[in-house]
Amino acid sequence: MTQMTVAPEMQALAMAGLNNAGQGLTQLLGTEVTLEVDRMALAPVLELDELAWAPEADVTGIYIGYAGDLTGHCLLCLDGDNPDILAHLFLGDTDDQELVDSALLEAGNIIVSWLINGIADRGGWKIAVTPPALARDMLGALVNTILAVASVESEELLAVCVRFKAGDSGLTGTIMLMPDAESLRILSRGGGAQ
Amino acid sequence: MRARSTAAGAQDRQKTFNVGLGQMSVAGPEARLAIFGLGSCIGLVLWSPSIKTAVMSHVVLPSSKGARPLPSTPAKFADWAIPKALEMLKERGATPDDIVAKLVGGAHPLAAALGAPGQKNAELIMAALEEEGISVVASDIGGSVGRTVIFSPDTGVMEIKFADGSIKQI
Repeated sequence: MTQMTVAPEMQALAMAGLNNAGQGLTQLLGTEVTLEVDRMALAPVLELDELAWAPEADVTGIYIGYAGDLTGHCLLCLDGDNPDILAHLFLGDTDDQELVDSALLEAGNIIVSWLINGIADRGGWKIAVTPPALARDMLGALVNTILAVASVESEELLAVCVRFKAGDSGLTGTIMLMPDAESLRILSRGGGAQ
Repeated sequence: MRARSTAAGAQDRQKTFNVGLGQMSVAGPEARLAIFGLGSCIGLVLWSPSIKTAVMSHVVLPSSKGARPLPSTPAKFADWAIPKALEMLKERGATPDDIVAKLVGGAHPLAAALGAPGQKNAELIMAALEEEGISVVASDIGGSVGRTVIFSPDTGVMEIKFADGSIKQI
């Protein structure tokens, strides 16, 4: 993959968002949530299909886009029993799949909103998130589709792949934050709505 | 061109080339061409049965709108991929009347947020192939879940594995 250097200012913006999401999740779930950056890469959009570490893996993906001073994409990936664990943390026991999906969408919305608000708050920037969408599919198919759509507007993305773990609940998951590199550069230089 | 070779299954020792986003790869009867976890993009195969050679392109978008092809992503757009694939097959001895097409993909797993760009992509690729006089002998387009596709230039069979575990051949 053609990786470019991620400027410290860009890293700091991404980390501001991630720290905010970690604190919010800890409060929401009532158990300490740890986040670990697995990968941070600035690369041409079409080379980021390698983010799908197991392209055929079955995952539940919750997608949310964002626009405004910063444009980009975010995917919350949960595999194995993790969608059920997350839904249980929100709802308690239920067999109602519609309720489970609704809880997962809401969870994705909250997590990504914290993440984006953490970035926006640094400079008073205006960033709005889109309504969430949920899919159960191959990881590769979800990443492929997001990158194909991203490639219409963006040449490069900053891809930040973060693994999270929620205390003793057993919940683990991955957040892929993929802001458009050009709009992130402008923000990191102090641009945007300020 | 970026194509990762992976070990084939235990029963099948054929080398399999994984064709990445916007990439294309050519193979003869001794190998297979694959895309693992194909979503809204199109996996386009141009195949010459007589020389048992195929080019698989991982097409992302239908039209470059006149932009010049980039060596790093020769199959990003259908109008870059199709002429290049024909050229690659002709260089290996295929004749134009002996080339057929198979295409798969165009799923819309996140349609609620991202729409269904793959469907239009497939339609425009079909039209471009018709203009080139290439017959589409098989296709599997659309749906809400992704696919893994593996094509054998030796037999012309394309195996499609869906996210729910079902498998079909075209």
